[in-house]
Amino acid sequence: MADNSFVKIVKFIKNLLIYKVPVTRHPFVLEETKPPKPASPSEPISSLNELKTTVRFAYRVEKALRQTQTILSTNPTPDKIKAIQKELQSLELQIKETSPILLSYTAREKTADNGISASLEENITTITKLFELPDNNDFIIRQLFIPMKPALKAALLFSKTLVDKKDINSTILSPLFNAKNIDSLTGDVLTILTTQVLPINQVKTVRDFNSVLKAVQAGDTVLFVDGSAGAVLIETKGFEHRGISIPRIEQTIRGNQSSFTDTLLINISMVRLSLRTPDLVVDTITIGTRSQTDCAVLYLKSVANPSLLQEVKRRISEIKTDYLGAGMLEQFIEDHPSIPLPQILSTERPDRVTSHLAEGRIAILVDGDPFALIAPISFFTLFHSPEDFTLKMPAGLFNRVLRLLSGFLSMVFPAIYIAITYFHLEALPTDLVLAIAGARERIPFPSLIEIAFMEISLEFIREAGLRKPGLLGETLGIVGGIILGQAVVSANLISPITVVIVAITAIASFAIPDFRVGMAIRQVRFLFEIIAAMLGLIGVGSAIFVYIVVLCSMKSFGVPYMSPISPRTSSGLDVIARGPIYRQEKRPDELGPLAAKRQPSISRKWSLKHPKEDGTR
Amino acid sequence: MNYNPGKMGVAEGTSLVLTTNFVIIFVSVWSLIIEQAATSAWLIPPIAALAFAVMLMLLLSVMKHIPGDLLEVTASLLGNQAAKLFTVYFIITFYVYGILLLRQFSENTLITAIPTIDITTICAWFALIAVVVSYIGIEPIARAAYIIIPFLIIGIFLLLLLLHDRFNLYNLAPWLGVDISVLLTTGMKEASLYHSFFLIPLLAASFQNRRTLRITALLGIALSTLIRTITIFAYTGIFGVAVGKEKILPFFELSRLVFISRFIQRVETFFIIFWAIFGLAAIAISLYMTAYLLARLFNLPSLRPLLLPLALVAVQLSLLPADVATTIEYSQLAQHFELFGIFAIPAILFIANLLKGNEKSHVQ
Repeated sequence: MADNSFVKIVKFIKNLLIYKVPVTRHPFVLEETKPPKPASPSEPISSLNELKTTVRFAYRVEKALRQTQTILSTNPTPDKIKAIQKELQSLELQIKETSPILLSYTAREKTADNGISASLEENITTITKLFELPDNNDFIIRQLFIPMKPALKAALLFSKTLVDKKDINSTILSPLFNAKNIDSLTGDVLTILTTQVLPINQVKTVRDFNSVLKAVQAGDTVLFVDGSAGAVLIETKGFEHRGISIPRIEQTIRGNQSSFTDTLLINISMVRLSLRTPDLVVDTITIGTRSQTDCAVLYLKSVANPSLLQEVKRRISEIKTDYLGAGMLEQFIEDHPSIPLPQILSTERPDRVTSHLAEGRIAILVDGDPFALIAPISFFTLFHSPEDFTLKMPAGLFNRVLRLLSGFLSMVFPAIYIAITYFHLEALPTDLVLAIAGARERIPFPSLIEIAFMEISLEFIREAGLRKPGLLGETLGIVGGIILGQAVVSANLISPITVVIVAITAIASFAIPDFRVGMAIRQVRFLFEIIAAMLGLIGVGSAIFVYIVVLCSMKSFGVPYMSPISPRTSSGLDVIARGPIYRQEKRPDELGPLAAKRQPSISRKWSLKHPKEDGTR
Repeated sequence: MNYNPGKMGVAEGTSLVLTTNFVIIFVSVWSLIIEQAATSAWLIPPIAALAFAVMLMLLLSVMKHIPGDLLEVTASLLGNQAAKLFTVYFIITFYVYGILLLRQFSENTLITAIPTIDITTICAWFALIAVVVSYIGIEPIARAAYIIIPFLIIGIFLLLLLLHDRFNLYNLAPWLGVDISVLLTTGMKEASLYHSFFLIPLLAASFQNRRTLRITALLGIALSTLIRTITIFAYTGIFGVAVGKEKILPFFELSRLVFISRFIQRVETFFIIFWAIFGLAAIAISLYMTAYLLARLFNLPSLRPLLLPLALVAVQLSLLPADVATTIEYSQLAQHFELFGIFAIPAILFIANLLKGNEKSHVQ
C-alpha cells in the first residue's frame, strides 16, 4: 500500500533530522608485496617444465611417425618423402636438446641465455615467456608456412611499435610466400632463406635468445623456422625519427629533447627505445563506447607492485563513458577528483616516463593525447623536474628547494602581506613600515582590494596569453604586465608595494614545474587572502593547517600523497633533497616495488680500482 | 564502526602526543611551575615524566598480554561497567582539556595578535577549524603535525639561541629554590601534564602493534620532557623567578625579547602562526577523542555527527570563565581530576591483571 501524505511528510522530516551513516567505499591502500623467489632446479616448477618439454617432443615424434606411416602406406611422391626427410632431420636436431642435463637447465626457467631450439614450438614457448605474452600486446608472433619443397613452419617476431609494417609485408612476407620452387633440403634453411629469398640488405643469423631480444627491441624482425636451431634477424626499423618535436611545456636545458606525439604507437615506441627490456609490458585497454579510444598501460613487470597494477587496470577498465578525449582519463581514475591538486603526473617527456617506470610506477598513454599519465605520485613529485638529474647534485638540490619555496610563497605571500598590514604592523622594521605607509598614503583601496584587483588582472593576462599564443600572446603580456602595472601605479589606484608583492607571487607560481599545481595554488590563494584580511596571521596559520591536513588525508592510487615525509618511508634522497645519483640505491619504498634495489651500494665501481687495473672488456 | 583510523606508526603516534602535550608551552604553564618550584622548576618535567612513564609502562605491560585498546582491556579485566566508567572519565578529561585550551588560545589571540576581535568570534573560529580537521580524521592530523613539529622545534631552539646573551645562570641558583620534598610533590602533581598520552592506549587499535605503542610512548615522553626542561631552564635563566612567575604568556614574552638589529626584532609575530597551528591541532585532537569515546560509549556507527554539536557546546562552555585568570584556575582544578586517571587507572588494571593471572594459574 502506498504511503499517504502524512506518512510521506513524517518520513521526509525523519530523513532530514536523523543522521544516516554514509556508505563508505573501501579506499584502495597499497600494501607491501614480497618479491617472487627465483625458481631453483629442485623446485616442482622446474620438473614440470622439463616434463612439458619432453611430452611436447614425444607428441611431435608420434605425429611424425603417424605421418610417415600414412605417407608410406600410400604411393609416396618425391615431395612427400622430402617432407618426411625434413621432419626427421628436425627431430634429430631436437633430440640433442632433450638430453637430461641440457633439458634440466633450459626447462628450469626460460631465460635469454637459452639457445634457440630446433623446434618452433619450443621457441614460441620461450618467446612467450621472455616477452611476457599475451600481457604484452606490443610484441607480435606471426606464424606462417613457407611453401618451399617441403613446406616449412615458421614464425616472425617483431614489435608493432618499432617496425616498418610496409617493410615486413613487402620484403619479408611476400618473398616468403613466393618461395615455392626452392628446395629446402639442399642445405641449411636459414642460409637458403637469407641468400635466395629475402631481398633485404641487412640480415644476420643468430643462435641465442639474447641477440633476439636486443634485435626485437631495436626494431628488427626475427624469423624462426621449424627444424633450424637458429633465427634470422632482419632489419625493419621503422620508428619515428623526425616527426618528434621538442617539449613545449617541460623544456630543459640539458637532457632528452623529444616529446610525445598524438599517436599511441609512436609514443609506445619512444618509451620502448629508452627501456629496451622485454620486462616492459604494454597492455592495451579500449575505453569509450563511441570513441573506442586505445589506452596503453605500461609497466616493468619485475618491478611494479602487482596490486597497484591491478588497481590501475581495474579503474581504467571500469570507466563507462561514450567518449574519452585527450586529457580526460585522469579525472576518471584519480582518487580525489574534487580536490584541485593533481594526483597523477602528466608529462610530455618520454625520458620522464621511463625514469618513473624504472622506479616502479605505472604509465598510461592514451591514443590522441601527447601527454603520458604516471601514477602513483606524491605531492613532492610535482615539484621535480627532469632537469634535476641532468645537472649536478648541488644545482639540482638548489633548484628543488627554490621550487618548493616558490610553491609556498605563491600560496601565502600576499596573505601574509595582508595580515601584516591589517593586524601586525609591529612585525616589520620601522623603516619598512614607513615606506609602506608612504607608498599607500594616496591609495583609496584597502590592501585586500588592491591585491585582489592585481591578481585578477594577472589571471586575465595569463588566460588571454594562453588563448592567443605566439606574438599576440607576448604583446598581451607586455601591454598587460608593464603598461597596465605602470598606469595603475601612476593613477594612484594601486601602491607600488602591491605590484611588487603580486609580481613576486606570480613569478613564484610560474616557477612550479607542474602547471596544474600552479593553478590549484592560485585558487587557494584567494581564500587565504580573505581569511588573512579577517583574522590576520591566526587566519593564515589556520588555513595552512587545514591545507596540510587535507594534503595528508589524500592518496594517489593507495599511496599517501605526502609520503615519504608523512607517513615516513625510506626515501632514497630524491624527495626534497636531491642526492647524488650514485647514492640512490633503492626504489621508493612507498610504492612497494617487487625489486627494492636498483643499483649496488657502490655503483661507481671504477673508483675502487687502480687506474692501471684493467677493467675494460 | 567506521571511525577507526588506519595503521599509525611511531612517527604519527609521537606527533599526536607531542602536539597535545607540547602545546601548553604556549600558555601559562611555565609561570605556574616556576611559582611552585622556583629555580628548580626545570627539574619538574623530568620528575613528572618519570612518575608518568612508570604508570604508563604498567598499563602497557597489562596491554601486552590482552588484545584490544584500553577500554577493551578494561572490559576483559573488570567488566563492561568499569569500561564504561573509564570511558566517561576519559570523555570528561579530553573534553575539559579541549575547552580550556580553546579559551586560553582565544585569550592569547586577543592579547597578542588581534586585540580588536570579539572573543566569541575567535572561539568559534578555532572550534570551526577543529571540527573541519577532526572530520577529516585523526591520522591526517597526526601526519600534518609530524610535518610541522620539526619547524617548531627548530624555531624554539633558534629563539633560545638568539636570547643567549640574556641568560643569567644566577637566576637558577639552587639555594633560591625549594626543598626536595616540595620538588618531588610538585613533580608528581605535574604528572597530570602528560595525561594526553592516554590517547596511545585508547587508540591502540589504530597503531600497528604493541611494540609501536611502547616506542611511541617512550619516545613521546622523552622528547616532550627534553624540550620542556630546556625551555623552562632557559626561561628561568632569562627572566628569573620573580619576573618569570608573573607572565601569563611566557613563550610570547620570551620571543619579544629578541633584538639582533633594527631589522631583526619583534619576531613574536611570526610565532603566532606556529602557536595557532599547534593550538588548533591540540583542540582538534581533544575534540576527536571526545567524539570517538562518546561513539564507543553509545556504540554509535559514526563519530562525525557528534563533532559539530560537541564543538558548539565547547564554545559555550569555554566562554563561561570570567577571564583568563579564572580559566587558569580551572585548569589547575582539572589537573587533580587528571591525576586520578594517571595513577589510579594503570594501578587498578595492573592489580586486576595480576589477580586474574593468579586465578588462571590456580585453575590450571
